[in-house]
Amino acid sequence: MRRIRAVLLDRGVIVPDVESARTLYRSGFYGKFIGHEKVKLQEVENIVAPLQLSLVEALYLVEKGVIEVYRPDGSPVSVEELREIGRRLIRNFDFIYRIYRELRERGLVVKSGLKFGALFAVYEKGPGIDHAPMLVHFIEPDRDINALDITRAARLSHSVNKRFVLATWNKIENRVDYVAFEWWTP
Amino acid sequence: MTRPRRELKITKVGDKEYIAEGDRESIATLHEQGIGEKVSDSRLKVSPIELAYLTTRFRVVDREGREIRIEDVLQNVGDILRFIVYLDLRKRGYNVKITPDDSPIDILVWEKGKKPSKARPRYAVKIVTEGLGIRALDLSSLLRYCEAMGLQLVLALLSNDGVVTYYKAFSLRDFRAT
Repeated sequence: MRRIRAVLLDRGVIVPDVESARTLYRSGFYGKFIGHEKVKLQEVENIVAPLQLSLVEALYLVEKGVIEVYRPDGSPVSVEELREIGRRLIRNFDFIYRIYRELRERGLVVKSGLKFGALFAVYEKGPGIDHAPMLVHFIEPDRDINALDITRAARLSHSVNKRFVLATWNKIENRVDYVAFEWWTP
Repeated sequence: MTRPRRELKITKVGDKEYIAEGDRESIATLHEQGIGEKVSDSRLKVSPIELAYLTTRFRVVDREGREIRIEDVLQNVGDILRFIVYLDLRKRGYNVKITPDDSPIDILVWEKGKKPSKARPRYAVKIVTEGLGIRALDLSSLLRYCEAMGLQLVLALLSNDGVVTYYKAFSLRDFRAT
């Protein structure tokens, strides 16, 4: 399949071609149509706007061979360059990217969780289809998970979904550890 | 008028062991609820935490008939936090058992109405305090351990002033968005 062309504009990546933008969004709710909120799949056909991708999404799609990223002058941006930009702009980028990739590889739809106070909002099928996303919170490496981390995440998740996930870097096993929690009234 | 509380007579038999002696009915009930080890129809061997709990349900006396109150035994319970969670779950109607000191979990809990003498425990409780956290690695291995044992891991979050909040923990295998 022909790779979709994306452009790096300083701190973000866009897909300028409207048809490509629609294709990408439909294939897994990647990115956000500029100027449009919460676009449902059946509405995509009517959207005439470029798609904005986060650096995490862009890197994933480059790695999967779905998109190619260029600068506005037409020079290509390599995977490594994109990763370096991510590291420069986003703290703990490597960990965050790894969590994103692992969740996507499980077939889940992963969107920013910022508006919910979390790192990622994760959907089984997609926003507007699932009843509610599950929120994934990131605990910085070298920090233990404490009681406050759990209750804070629970508080944020309370109105969204009864389950939430804490993800943290396990440096001994060299992997991301995920634990899902659910409030229990005995 | 409130019914007079039944009496248990306590003998200390070791550093952390007591014999609780009472009427057959009380001893049988306590045994069914997973409290202590039955020594005879009228006697149970109990731990300091169990003894502290018994003072909340019975009139507990020593060999000389002097009443033993909870404050007399609390100093022997070891980890007070374990006692607080133990008491909280007991008061909520669960049958629970403190695990041995070398266990990675703190308390085993049976489904409501299930008898420890007949059924397997359902929940494994690990206490997490406000001050100290749990290493991600330890939490992961604890979760694996509990899942292998067929137990639901529950974290009992204990605030500095002793309020308990419970959370069930699951591995990502159970990851579902709704």
